[in-house]
Amino acid sequence: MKSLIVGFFSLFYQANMNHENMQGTGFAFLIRKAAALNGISLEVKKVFEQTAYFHTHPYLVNFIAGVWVKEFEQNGEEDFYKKTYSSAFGAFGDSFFWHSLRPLSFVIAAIAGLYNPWLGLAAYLVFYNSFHLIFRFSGYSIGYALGKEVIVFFNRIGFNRWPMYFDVASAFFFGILLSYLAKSCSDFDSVVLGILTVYVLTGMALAKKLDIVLGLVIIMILTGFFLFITGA
Amino acid sequence: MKKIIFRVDDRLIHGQVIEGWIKHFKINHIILVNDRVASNPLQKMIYSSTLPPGTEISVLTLDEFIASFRSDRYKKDYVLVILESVDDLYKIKNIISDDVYVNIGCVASREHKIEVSNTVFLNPEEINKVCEIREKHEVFIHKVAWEPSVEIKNFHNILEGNL
Repeated sequence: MKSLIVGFFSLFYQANMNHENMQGTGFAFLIRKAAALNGISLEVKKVFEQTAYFHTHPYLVNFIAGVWVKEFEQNGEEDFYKKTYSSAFGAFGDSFFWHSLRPLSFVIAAIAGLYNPWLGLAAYLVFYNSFHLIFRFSGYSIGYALGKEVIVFFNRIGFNRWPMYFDVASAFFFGILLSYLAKSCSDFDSVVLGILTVYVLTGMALAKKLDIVLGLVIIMILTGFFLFITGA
Repeated sequence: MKKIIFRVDDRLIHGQVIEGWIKHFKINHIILVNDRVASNPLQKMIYSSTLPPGTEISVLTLDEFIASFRSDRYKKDYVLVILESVDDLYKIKNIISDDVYVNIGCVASREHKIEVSNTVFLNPEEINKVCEIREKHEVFIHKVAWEPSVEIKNFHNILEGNL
């Protein structure tokens, strides 16, 4: 229950984000609520100290709140681990939520949107938020249970590999989407469609391995060559 | 871009470093130079765990780094050296060569610090140290690789309220 309540309050966490103390004010707000749920009444001075510069991934901040409260209760190093985990969770969260989950959610929404635009919108919201909200609403209890060793949880689920898996899934579903679009918008036969799919995927691989602009240029040249040969 | 990147970032390894540098340049070797992290196994594990699969990390103290660093080792592949503060950069200034891209990425706002960019806040002492490094080497402010870098030619001007 505490985890759900902290999760709810964390929805307001970024309300005062600014480039001087970033999410410091939000963290002070959140930690005061979290500590109170554990029967701790923090001194005003201690809460004020939490308004100092702080920046992490907002969806994972509740794990840090859990660690902080646990360390505070045990007279540990709550502010030391707060800083350490802020960077680590910034790295985890940016890679997964911003750079991998978002593109995959978009591709899934685009595929679902072909059937019905409203379904596409719903697919995006359900798929993206299912990950976002699970981490948000379970973070505090996991952070509190594991304390300063909460990194063990992320290692156990192999979280640093998730972006890689999701990128592969994005590429796969994007290929399906492009194939479907090519098939539905032209009179190409299955052989041509297969060739198209292969070189689109090749272009994406080039973009991933070399550079996105270079990948695009190469694939445009291949496209021009293909259209020239086929006389399209 | 030069193959050896020295980055000052008081958050050490975080989202901008992973997405904006490591993945962008396909860097597979990170050297984290920090006395505190090097002496704490849990911190070492935390920072190592955040890296993408296949990325190697060495966590060294400043003294170990100064003793072991040789720029001619890194001709082919990128290497990213992460330092926590301008003070740490100043301590290793003698090993900076023309092969090194010196970049101040993120230094948080604190009391009595001057805003150099929206992610870099330095106090007068740090600005003087950067000025001293600047006498021999270029120093850039560069948040992520795909954004333009800014070379501050004369940090002293900042002390007088100008950029």
